[in-house]
Order: sequence, then C-alpha cells, then structure tokens
Amino acid sequence: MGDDEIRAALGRGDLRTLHRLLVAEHYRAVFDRCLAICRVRSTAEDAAQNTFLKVLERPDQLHSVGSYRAWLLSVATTTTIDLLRSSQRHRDRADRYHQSAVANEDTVMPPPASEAQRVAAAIQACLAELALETRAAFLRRHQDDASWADIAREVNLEVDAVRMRVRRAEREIEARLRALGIEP
Amino acid sequence: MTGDAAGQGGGPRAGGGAATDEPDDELLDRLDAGLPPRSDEEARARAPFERLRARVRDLPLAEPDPGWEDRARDRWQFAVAARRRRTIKIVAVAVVGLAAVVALMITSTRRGHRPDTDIAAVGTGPGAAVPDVRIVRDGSDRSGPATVGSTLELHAAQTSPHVELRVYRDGRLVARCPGETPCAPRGADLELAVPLTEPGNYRPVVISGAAAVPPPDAAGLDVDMLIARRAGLTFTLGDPILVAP
Repeated sequence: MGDDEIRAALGRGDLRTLHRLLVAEHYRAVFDRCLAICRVRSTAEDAAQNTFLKVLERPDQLHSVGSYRAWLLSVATTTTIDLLRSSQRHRDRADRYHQSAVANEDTVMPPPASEAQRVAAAIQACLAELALETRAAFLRRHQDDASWADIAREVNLEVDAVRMRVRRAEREIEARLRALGIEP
Repeated sequence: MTGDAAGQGGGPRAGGGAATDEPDDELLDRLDAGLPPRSDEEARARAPFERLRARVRDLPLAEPDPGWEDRARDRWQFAVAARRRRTIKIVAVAVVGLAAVVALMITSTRRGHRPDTDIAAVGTGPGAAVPDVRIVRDGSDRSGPATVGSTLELHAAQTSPHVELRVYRDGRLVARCPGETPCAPRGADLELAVPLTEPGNYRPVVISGAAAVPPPDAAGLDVDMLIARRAGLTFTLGDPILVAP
C-alpha cells in the first residue's frame, strides 16, 4: 500500500477509500505534527482528523500534489494553528498543559532510557517553549524542508519574520542543549 | 532559553531584505543553501547546527492513542453524513424556492392573458360604485360557474350625476345601460340584464362622475378606460365572470 493506491482511489473519485488509505499511510505523521505544535493529545487528535477532512473537501487539489505526506503536513500545520486560534477550549487546554509541564518538569516526563531519548526529550522541551507559530515554522523548516514562503503562508507571517524567528530559535536551542551538557 | 523571545521577538518586517540580526546568519544562510563550508573554521561553526537539524529530523514520532483508526473512521462517516444532510437541506430549499418561482410565473402569466386585469386597480377610486352582479338561469339564481344560456343581471347605484353600467366580454363591449335594452333605470339606480350567449371572460364596469360619460370606443375596454379617466370619470371594474360553454 502507498501513494500509488491513493492515486488510484483519487482517480476513481472514491473518497471513502481515499480517506482510509491516506489515514492508514499518513495519520501517524500528521498526528505527530499536530501534537508537536499544540502539545495536547486530544487537541492533536481533533486537528489530525480535521486535516484529513479538510484535504478531502478539495480532493481535486491532490491531483497536483507531488508528495501526499508533505501536503498533509502543510495542511496539518495550518489546521492546528487555526484550531488553537479559533477555539478558546483548545487554547485553555494548551495553556493548562504548558503550566503543569513547567511546574512538574522533573516528574511529568518519564526518565529517558537512553542518550538519544534524553536528547530528544531536551529538544522537545525546548520546542515546547517556543511560541506556537515559531514552533510550527521550525518543524516545517527542519523536519520537512519546507520553503520559507510556504511556511510564511501557513503560519500567516512575513517571510523575513518567519526566517528570523526560526533562526533565533535554532540558536537558542543549540545554546540550551549545550548548557545541558548535550553536544548538539 | 527565552522561548517567547524566540517566538515573538521578531514582528513582521515590511521590507523584503534578509534578516541579518545575528553574526552567524550568513553561516546559516550558506548551510540552508546547501553550500559547502569555505573554511575549517566555518565547518566547525556549522557542525552543531548540522547535528541539531539532523536530531530534529530524527525525533521519534508520537504514537496516537489506541483506537485512533476507529475514531478517524467515525469522524469521517459523521462528516459525510453531516454533508449529506446539508446537501439535502440545500436541495429541499432550492426545490421549494424553484416551485415558488414557477408558481409565481404561472400566476403572472395567467394574469397577463386577461386583458382587463392591469386596469382594475386604475379604474377604481373613491366613491366608485361597484356593480351588484347576479347570474340567473330559468328565473332563479344559479350557483356554481356561469354557463352559456344564463343571464347576467347587474345593478349599480346612481351615486354620481352621470353613471353608466357596461359589460365587456374578453375586452369587447357587449352591453351598456343606459343605451341598450334590456336596460331598466329603477329609481335612481341602473339595472342591466345581459344574456350570456357566448363563453368568455365577462367584466362588469361602472363609469361614474360629474361629467357626461363619453361613448364607447370600438377598441374596447382598455381605450374606454383611458377615455373615461381623461374625462375625469371613475372607471370601476367588477370581478371577472368566467362563462363556460
């Protein structure tokens, strides 16, 4: 199973199968991105489900998409940001999560089992402290190699502002890891 | 780390120039562009960022909560059902709207075929005397639709110095009182009996006013109404009477 099957379902106009295949193939990545941006699992699940619904509202756009994964991650970014911006309920959840995570920083997270996990946890902690749009832009840039123009459109900021925020975040994460004794 | 500073410190820039507010921006620009380091020193300066980017790229995926497949499928089915309900609603509203428009068009088309409808409102006025109408057959009042062979009996009160009672069929004059028989002035009022010899749309009219009523024109109801109004008379139309064969 893969993008070929998805393309075939798209060609038939079989939206139900298309949804099933897209979810089976890409849901985990989409959920991970939504969670990385919003930090709350229930909100991330809402955002991930919304992402697939949104993509299938305009299935014609999928015909011109080179990589379904990249397209879904782009839509997931805007969907999660929009969800947090538009829903006070989701914003409150995110705020509560952030406050409790900061207050219980040492006890909430299970102790990392390996050095790789320790580094990953440290990076995640650094990302969690970034502003919403900066976090989304950072991940789009450094996990998806998205262009600055695409990222700026997704997070609704000027290209230069996005670039500056991501660069600054990158330097600060690097310094923070170094301070934790982690060779970035 | 100053997360908020990192996130919110830079507002949108109006200009299109590069953001060069840090000394290592050029280094990161070259790294972004995939250009090789120009020196060992640059290679060393780049290394932590290259490693950081690799680590960010390799962050493990967060696993969704168990049952996510079912919930994603349920959400899709719910959305499809909601969309279907919305479509049915839209179609229903469109059908009702279309039916209303068609009904309106049919009604206005039918009205358009009746030559005297448009002037009904024009002819009536204050003090106008609406004719009293009876349809008689074999000497008794007839209920139900009028048919050929019945007689139309009209009565109008003499409310002005000059009053004339007329009957038009499909816009053409068929009888008038005074002027024709059987026309029977009764006291101050007028009575006219018109045998319904042909089917059609009969229309009783009372013309009244201070001036003398001009004679009817061969052109029929529309022109007679205009002439009467020009003479300062009130042209009162009674309800149409459809006479079946």
